[in-house]
Amino acid sequence: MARNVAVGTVKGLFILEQEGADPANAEWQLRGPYLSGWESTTVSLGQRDGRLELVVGLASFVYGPHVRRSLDGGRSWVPLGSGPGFSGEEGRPTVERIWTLHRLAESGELVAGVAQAGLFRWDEPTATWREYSSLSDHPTRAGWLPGLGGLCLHTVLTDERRPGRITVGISSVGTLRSDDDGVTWNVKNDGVTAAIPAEEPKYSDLNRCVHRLVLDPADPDHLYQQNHTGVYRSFNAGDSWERIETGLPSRFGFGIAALDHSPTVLFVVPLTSDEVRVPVDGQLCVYRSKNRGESWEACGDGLPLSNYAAVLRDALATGAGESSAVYFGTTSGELYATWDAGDNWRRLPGVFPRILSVRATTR
Amino acid sequence: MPTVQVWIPGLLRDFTSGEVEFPVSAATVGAALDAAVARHPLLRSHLADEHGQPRPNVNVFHNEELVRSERELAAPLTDGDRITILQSVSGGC
Repeated sequence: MARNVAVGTVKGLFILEQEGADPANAEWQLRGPYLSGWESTTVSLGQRDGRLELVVGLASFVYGPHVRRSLDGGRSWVPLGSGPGFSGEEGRPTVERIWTLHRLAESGELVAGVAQAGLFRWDEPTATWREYSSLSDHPTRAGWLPGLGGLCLHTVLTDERRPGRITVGISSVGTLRSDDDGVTWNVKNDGVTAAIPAEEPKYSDLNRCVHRLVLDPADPDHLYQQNHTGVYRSFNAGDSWERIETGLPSRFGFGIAALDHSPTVLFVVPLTSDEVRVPVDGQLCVYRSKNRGESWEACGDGLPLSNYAAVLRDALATGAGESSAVYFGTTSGELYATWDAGDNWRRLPGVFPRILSVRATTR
Repeated sequence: MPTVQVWIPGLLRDFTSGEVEFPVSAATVGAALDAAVARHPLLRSHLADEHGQPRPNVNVFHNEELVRSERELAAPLTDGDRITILQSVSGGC
């Protein structure tokens, strides 16, 4: 078995590779940086025609965002067209940053979630990005407010057991769901506390600053979210939400991940409040729930004491193809992993620039 | 039609098949940029956003002069002029 971990940083992309059955005691090879000079804002890692496929969202404060793909482990890269772009004239939204890349469960097509709050589908035959214009032109759009990172569409969820359904998370708008392949979208924030009150009553169900959504591998109608205002779950595909914070030292954080166990195991990394945003008491600690969020426990064995680095929303991920693997990278450039569902954590080699995105897969 | 040289900064050479510098024939600075984009279409989205608005931290020099205005974009070229694309000197680490 071979493992690949892609690490997107503000200074480029790194890849860690390891072969063998025991990753905790194996030697890891570090390659990169690739695409130096570009921020690797989000990474997609998968298989395509038997080869490792890397797709990376890239950003530059000078030259703007775009997307590139590699089918040879990062040695060569091809731009996916000119990158996503909103249609229309000046005054329409612009693409500021690629926040997430996702393969639609049914078709396998690639979609990109971007700031300012847009969703685009890569059309391979025409080599163009197609805008989900009904989301861009949503009737509530005038009430959508950006977070610190902009008006970012950072999460896309699909599941082949629910054809036609696409769920997205937008900061600081909340959760929206389409049940018709992205033709129409409905806001799904019932039960979630607003980050700030809406200025107009007609937008009172907005301003739910979702930081990350994750879908329960065991049931596509079960969703979990780390929000600016807390941690929530929904057992009806987002129609209503309830808080799940028992045992957490703080409601605030960015990432959330779900392992395909029975029952599903969840992971969050709490941070001290939205004003401070460092690990609680300087203890970088992962919290785990083995009961679908009913309660949480610290599972920080192997993580360092006195560590004030945060974990960003795209930098906490389960390992594809592994039943008990979770990886995360920190804002101070450290990378950690567990292969036993959080009982033990191990630091992987390398000190990286600020880590924005982590993905892992096995072959 | 004058022939001028267009110089491409490092990050954008991935979109010019590695070309650092190449000649274009154009009457004005703006037309030279259009010709550069015509030669390498993937440059377009990195010089301007999808609505055609120039990216604010991309600088264009006509010989030694920074091009800032429509009037400077319309400036006539002469054989041997140089168009340089540079990022602005800003940002942290």
